Amino acid sequence: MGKLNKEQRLEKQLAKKIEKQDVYQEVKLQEAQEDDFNVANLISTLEEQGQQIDSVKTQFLRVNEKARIVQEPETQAERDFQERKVAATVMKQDIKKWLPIVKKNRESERIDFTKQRNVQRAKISDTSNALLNNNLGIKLQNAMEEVEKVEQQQQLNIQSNQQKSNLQFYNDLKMKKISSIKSKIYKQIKKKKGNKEKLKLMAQLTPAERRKEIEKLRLSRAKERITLRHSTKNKYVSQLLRFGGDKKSLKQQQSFLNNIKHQLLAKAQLNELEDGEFDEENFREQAISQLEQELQDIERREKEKQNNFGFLDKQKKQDLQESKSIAQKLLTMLKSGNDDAIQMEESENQEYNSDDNYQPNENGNKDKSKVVIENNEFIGRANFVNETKQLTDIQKKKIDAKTSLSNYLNLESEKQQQQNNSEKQLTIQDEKKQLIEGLNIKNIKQKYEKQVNKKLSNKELKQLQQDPDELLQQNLANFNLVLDEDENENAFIDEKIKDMEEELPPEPVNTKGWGCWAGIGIKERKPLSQEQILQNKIKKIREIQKKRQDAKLDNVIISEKRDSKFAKYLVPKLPSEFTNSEQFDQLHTLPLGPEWNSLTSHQALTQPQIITKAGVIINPVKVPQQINKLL
Amino acid sequence: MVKFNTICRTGQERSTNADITKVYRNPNPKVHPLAHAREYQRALVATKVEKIYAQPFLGALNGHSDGVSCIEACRFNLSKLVSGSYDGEIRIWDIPSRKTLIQLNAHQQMVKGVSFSRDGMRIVSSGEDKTINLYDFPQLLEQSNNTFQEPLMCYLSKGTLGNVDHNYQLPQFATAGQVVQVWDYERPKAIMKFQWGVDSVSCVKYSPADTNLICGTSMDRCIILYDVRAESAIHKVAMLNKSQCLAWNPIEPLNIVIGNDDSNCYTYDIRKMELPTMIHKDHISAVMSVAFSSSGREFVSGSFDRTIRIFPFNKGFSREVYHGQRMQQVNSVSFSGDAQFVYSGSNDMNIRIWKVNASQKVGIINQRESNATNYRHALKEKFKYNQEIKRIAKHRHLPKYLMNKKKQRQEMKESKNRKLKNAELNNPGQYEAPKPEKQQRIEQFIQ
Repeated sequence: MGKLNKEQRLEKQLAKKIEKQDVYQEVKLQEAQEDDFNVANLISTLEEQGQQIDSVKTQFLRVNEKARIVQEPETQAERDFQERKVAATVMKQDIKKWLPIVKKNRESERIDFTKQRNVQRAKISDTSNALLNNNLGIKLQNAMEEVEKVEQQQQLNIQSNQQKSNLQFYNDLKMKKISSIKSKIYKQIKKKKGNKEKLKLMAQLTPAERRKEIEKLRLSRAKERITLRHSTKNKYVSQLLRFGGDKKSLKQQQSFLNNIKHQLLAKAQLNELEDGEFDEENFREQAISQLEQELQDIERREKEKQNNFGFLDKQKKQDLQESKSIAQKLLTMLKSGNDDAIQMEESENQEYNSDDNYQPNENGNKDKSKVVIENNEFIGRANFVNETKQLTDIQKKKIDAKTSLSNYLNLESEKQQQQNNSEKQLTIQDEKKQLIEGLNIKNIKQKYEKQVNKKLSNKELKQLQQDPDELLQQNLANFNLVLDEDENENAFIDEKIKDMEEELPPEPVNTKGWGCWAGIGIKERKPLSQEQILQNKIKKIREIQKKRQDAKLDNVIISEKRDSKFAKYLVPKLPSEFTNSEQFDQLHTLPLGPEWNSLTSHQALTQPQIITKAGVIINPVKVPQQINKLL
Repeated sequence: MVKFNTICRTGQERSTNADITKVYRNPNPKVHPLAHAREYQRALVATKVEKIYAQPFLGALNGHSDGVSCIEACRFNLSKLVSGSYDGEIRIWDIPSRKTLIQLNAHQQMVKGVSFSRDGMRIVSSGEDKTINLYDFPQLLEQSNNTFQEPLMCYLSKGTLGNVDHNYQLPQFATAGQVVQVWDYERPKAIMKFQWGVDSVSCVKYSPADTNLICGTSMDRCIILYDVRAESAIHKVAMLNKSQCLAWNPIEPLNIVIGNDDSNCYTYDIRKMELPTMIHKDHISAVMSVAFSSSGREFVSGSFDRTIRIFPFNKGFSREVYHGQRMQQVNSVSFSGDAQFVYSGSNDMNIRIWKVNASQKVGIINQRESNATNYRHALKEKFKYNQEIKRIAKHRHLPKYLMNKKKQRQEMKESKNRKLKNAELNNPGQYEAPKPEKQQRIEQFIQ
């Protein structure tokens, strides 16, 4: 029996196992179909099979509902990390209260620790310089206008404002009463309501979003844990912490904005052209107004008394008429709006800009002479511009003069060549040429080569041979007007080479047999030819040239001679704390001693940056009371 | 007949206030062509005179029978100083008379740290024997002859202890060690514990201005910042070498200075601990202790190379070096409350008192004298870029071992740079530009 029983049992067990496997396979199949394994799916499959699992189902539902409210358990490491993160942000925000104090300390000229007072807070006006920008200026202007509008409205609607304020007061009272209800039941009900709403919201969210929400909650809790006290964070406090000042009234704001606006305008007037932002219309308007003023000035001067000297009066009249006519022309051109006119305008305006503080003349005898001079210049330039455009005969002559002179000079050198011995291969010109190659001055070199290679026409040659001086004298007058760059540049190169030659060590006197070995069987050394000497010289000059500061600067000669007597007063290198030499020189402009200053200013100049006194304990910094109260 | 004796004065002889002749000077610089040269000469003389009168060492406090491990000047009273030594003895000194007021056999092993409370009434000490003692200063004074006085409170720590630092406002103090602990007067157990990582913290300091913040240096080469309000630390930086000491700037509570074992000091901004804002170089071996001046403009550092150096807070190199023939490794330094004196405790059992400005006169200075010194300082400041003046002002006499070591270091640095340059030249395009030095010293920033 026992055996049978055993067999029966085994059969039963096997049957159970098979059943379980079947159920498992079914579940697995379902999983494969839905690609997702859930407890909910499992329950549903079991229900379909007809098994009674009500208690399990209810339990599952309860847990599921709770999971929405109760967070997933977080690890200690995660929790620590989150707390550190929050602590860092809180610390960084909290530490901002020291910034105005630190800034003030660093920027102040001197700190007196003997007075034992809290360090003053930074003012808003201190930061105004840093805010200077053209775009900002425009924004500030707009803000100014808005502030003004608001003020005007306030003035108009005083009565309505009063009504509003009364209403607000009533509302405030009501809110106070509501907030003062502190019964436990009320708060519990409120909390439950809030929780329910949260649950509803959470149920709608996807799991990823829910996780994010939960993280947010955790962070806020960590923050609460850390800060404990709930500090106020209204606008007033944030402003106080940021600027270290009281809340500004409208008038204060306005004055602050006004201040910046004036600074901006002053700066903009100086830098408008330099910045390259150029408004044509603005310029035209300005020019027209200036020209009109000039015309008025001219008329006024015509009416004035005449001098005793007739010739002076005549000249004055002529000048005035000329300037008047040109001004009128310009006016008409400007108003019509031609492009050429604008170009002229530009040249005129550049003149004005050369004087930084140009203001149109209004009164005073002194200014008149200035105006006359300016007008003359103005006329001269205008004429010049016109002439260059039309390419008159005179100008052509000028150009002719330029070429002819240079040719004449070259010719002279050619004559010298012929006179010299034919044995010398290197001429003065070639020497120059080689040196210039060493100088690496491309532009100058090209010009110089052109001059050498140019050949004169037969006619010109004949003329020059006959009477070169006459031709020169004819053109010299016009020659001054044209800048003869080539000639100047050549002179400049000569000067530079001369400067380098001076630096060469003195050549040894070439006495025969001196410094050589003597005796039987020794060949006598030949003295260097002039060619070799020249080449050596060029080599040496090139070496010197590399060492010079002006090696790479084409148009500059830097004198490197230094008077040793003054060396001790000078600094070999600009200290790194300064950006330019002018800044550094300003250190030494003002003597500090009592011989050159009054006693009070001497003491003020020589006061140390940090004043301490033996016996006075310096306490660590404190937050000013105003800020401390609010925190 | 009565005779009258009269004194007769003519109007011309009599002197009145109106008779003082005023001297009018022409301020036009063209009239004074030699002003610059004269001032230069004065500046030169001033720098030389300063060198001649430079006598920084004021005196020594001797009495300890073992090396001095830690000292701290009183925060309330300028004349008091506490020191602890390697044999567990604590002494409280009166600086003007240079005598010990109180001698205590406080700990069975080395004294790790001592600290005064802000009001100067309480003294806290921590020892290697895992005990922290809290003393009442007036009570100690009453029985000044008793060397075995019992403390007001004795706290027992589970782990080993580092230094101790008293809070600047509250009746609390923090101790370093295996765990950073914050203690209250009234509680026998620590009210707060911070632990991050395995290794212990060697030094811990409260911020004097913002008393919620604590900074510590740990043995795993980290610098850790704690907020007392939080349950954990804020962040930490791992450097290449271990740091042993730190100090907070009391005027700018954003900045801390750290003395490192690589012989440099580092300034950190606690908001951005990723990189140090400045490296202060000059020491030759490990920096053992740093202390900030109460003016916040200078800090002093004591080093294993037997010197003390004073650094400006914003300069990379030291302004002053102090050393003595018999002075051994400096274990601890402290600034006096008025920023005039520096105290140093060293391995040779002495505490030394130094002037902060070596040539400054100690004692009463009248107005004329102070004006003159001010003028001299201003002149030196004005001409400090001139080579001759710079050379004289910069020169300090150093012992031979320091000079040799310095030279050696310079040579090593140059050869290293040369090597790098050559490597770059010979293999163009293969070598990346080396990191800036500040970045090189930092291993990791951990949030």
